[in-house]
Amino acid sequence: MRNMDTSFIERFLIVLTLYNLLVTAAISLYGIVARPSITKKIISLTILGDSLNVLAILIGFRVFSVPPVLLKLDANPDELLNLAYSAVDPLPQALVLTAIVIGLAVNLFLIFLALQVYRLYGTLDSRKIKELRG
Amino acid sequence: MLHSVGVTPALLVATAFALPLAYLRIKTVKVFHGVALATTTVAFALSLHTHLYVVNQSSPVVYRMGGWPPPLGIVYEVDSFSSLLATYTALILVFVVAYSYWYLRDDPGTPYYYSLLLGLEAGLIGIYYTGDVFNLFVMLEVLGITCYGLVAYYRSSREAVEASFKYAFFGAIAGLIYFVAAVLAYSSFGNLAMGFIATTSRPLFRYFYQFTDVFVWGNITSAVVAILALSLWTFTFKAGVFPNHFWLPDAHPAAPTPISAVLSGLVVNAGAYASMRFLYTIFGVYDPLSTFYELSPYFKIVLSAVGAISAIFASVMMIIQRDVKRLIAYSTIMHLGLVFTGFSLGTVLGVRASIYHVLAHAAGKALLFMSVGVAIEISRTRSVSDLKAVGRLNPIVGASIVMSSFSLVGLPPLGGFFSKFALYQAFIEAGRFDLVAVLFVSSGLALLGYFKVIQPTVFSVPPSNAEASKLKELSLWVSLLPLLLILVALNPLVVGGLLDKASESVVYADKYISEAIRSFLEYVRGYQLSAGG
Repeated sequence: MRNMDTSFIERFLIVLTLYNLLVTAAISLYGIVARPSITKKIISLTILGDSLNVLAILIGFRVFSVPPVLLKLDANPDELLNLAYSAVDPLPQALVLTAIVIGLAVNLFLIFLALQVYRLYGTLDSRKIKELRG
Repeated sequence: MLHSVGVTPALLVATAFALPLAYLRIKTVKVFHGVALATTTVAFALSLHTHLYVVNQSSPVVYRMGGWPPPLGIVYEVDSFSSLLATYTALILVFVVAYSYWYLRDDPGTPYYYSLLLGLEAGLIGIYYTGDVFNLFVMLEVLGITCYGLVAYYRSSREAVEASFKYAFFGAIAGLIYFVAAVLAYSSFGNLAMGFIATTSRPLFRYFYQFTDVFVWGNITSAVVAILALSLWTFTFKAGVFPNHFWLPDAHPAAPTPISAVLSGLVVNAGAYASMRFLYTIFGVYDPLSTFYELSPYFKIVLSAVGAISAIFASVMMIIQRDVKRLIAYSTIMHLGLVFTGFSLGTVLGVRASIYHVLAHAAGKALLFMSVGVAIEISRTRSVSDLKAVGRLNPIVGASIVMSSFSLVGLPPLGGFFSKFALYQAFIEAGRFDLVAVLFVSSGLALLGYFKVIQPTVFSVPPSNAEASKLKELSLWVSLLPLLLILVALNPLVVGGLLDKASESVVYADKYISEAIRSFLEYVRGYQLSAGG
């Protein structure tokens, strides 16, 4: 039940995961800002995206739960209520699925551009690619 | 249910995917020009139909995807503000496609170009129509990816590839940031439908829906501060306003000229639209009925500062530019800054002036980019001092350059004057004399920049006869003259009523909320009837 006293282990695991995600996001932001190589910037971007996706999953998650699947077609209201109280929230998972697909498209495009930058400039060092002043 | 709402983006996306496939069989490029023109015209007709319906009905229309009502499924919720912007966007894109026929001619990449351009239109109209916070993320990414692709259209040009990489990389980060904002909104409001989040924000409606367990944040106000801070970061990136303007002066000039017109005139409006929607309708930061009204002083300060800095900074940068396209791109930052100062006031008059300025800027900027693009094509250079006087040989090009510059500066008979006058009135009404000063100083500085464009393209040496052969084209008249007429028609007598309806629909969320709830109740009643209850 959602409203029951959350046990120590549940809180500990959620907080641990949360801090893990925040540290991962911070490291990947460092990689985006501070690494000169475009390849490493793109890798950092994918790590940032993945850590934020896991954060979204965590929002719908509930420790000691069941998958949000109804096993019977003609379930009565009590069984529906039971499932609603014990299952994880499937909507953040749907959001993350969408975000992963969009991330795939964007990353592919970025990798193509990085390839094209390499063909035109002969380097992937962002300090040497500075024809535009911003 | 009004089906033209759901059909418009779907039609555009379907055509966008069909064009590259058709290119495998049909090798005549002219066919694709025709198909693109036909598709954008149909999209304009559909969005006009939606607009007339919404305005006549004087309440928003809810389009339920797959029949699911607002808090359960994804919906499009179209009010008079969103349908006004969508119709205007579709109208200008028709003329951009007509201009692309002159610009691209027999370019073998034309089908891919139109594929991306129609995808861009689908993304823009989707952003305006959507009534779902997460669907807005998807549409922002659709818009983003097509824009990156169009900026890198000349993929063997160093400038285009570098500008596109910069735009795409920071655009991807902006998209992730908005994703976090959407997830936080779900975790603290329990649903993603804009109408229902708006309901939950107003305590009067609280009996209907409660806040859910707040996940990370101690109270709902700090969660909303986080959501608004993250989403406004993304929206200012899309709008190209001061702290996030850095990609714009690189990306807009590197694109083909019709795309520069689209990016500068239409795409940046999506950021301003989404900011207004989030601040006014959804969270009601400026609505005394809302729980979050206490935040309004902070948002007033931050948004007016952001707008004022970008207006002044960009108008100074305009004067020192040598590249004509960069000059016009900086002018975009300036005008979007003015739009942000307009709706930072929190008054109906301010929002009305902002919407008016968005409309006037869109037509003026698209026309200026397209007519200066003619001079760039003929002179084969983008340096301001070397442009040839194409305005002397083709009257429509000369008139377009002069009139659109005058409109952007704000000279009387044109749309830009009336929108700047509306901004001035809104500032005076709110007692913000500092913003009045910003309006006058930035317009005065920008005047110098526009004269740098007008002088060579109209008053210098005309091009030789061989160079001028490309000027005698019907499609130039077809694309430039209607935009010129739009600029003249953007008069309070013509558009005043539309602007009143649009601004009231943004500021007072009542109808937006009641229509979402009504759609949900209608579904529940229908379900009970069909279940025999």
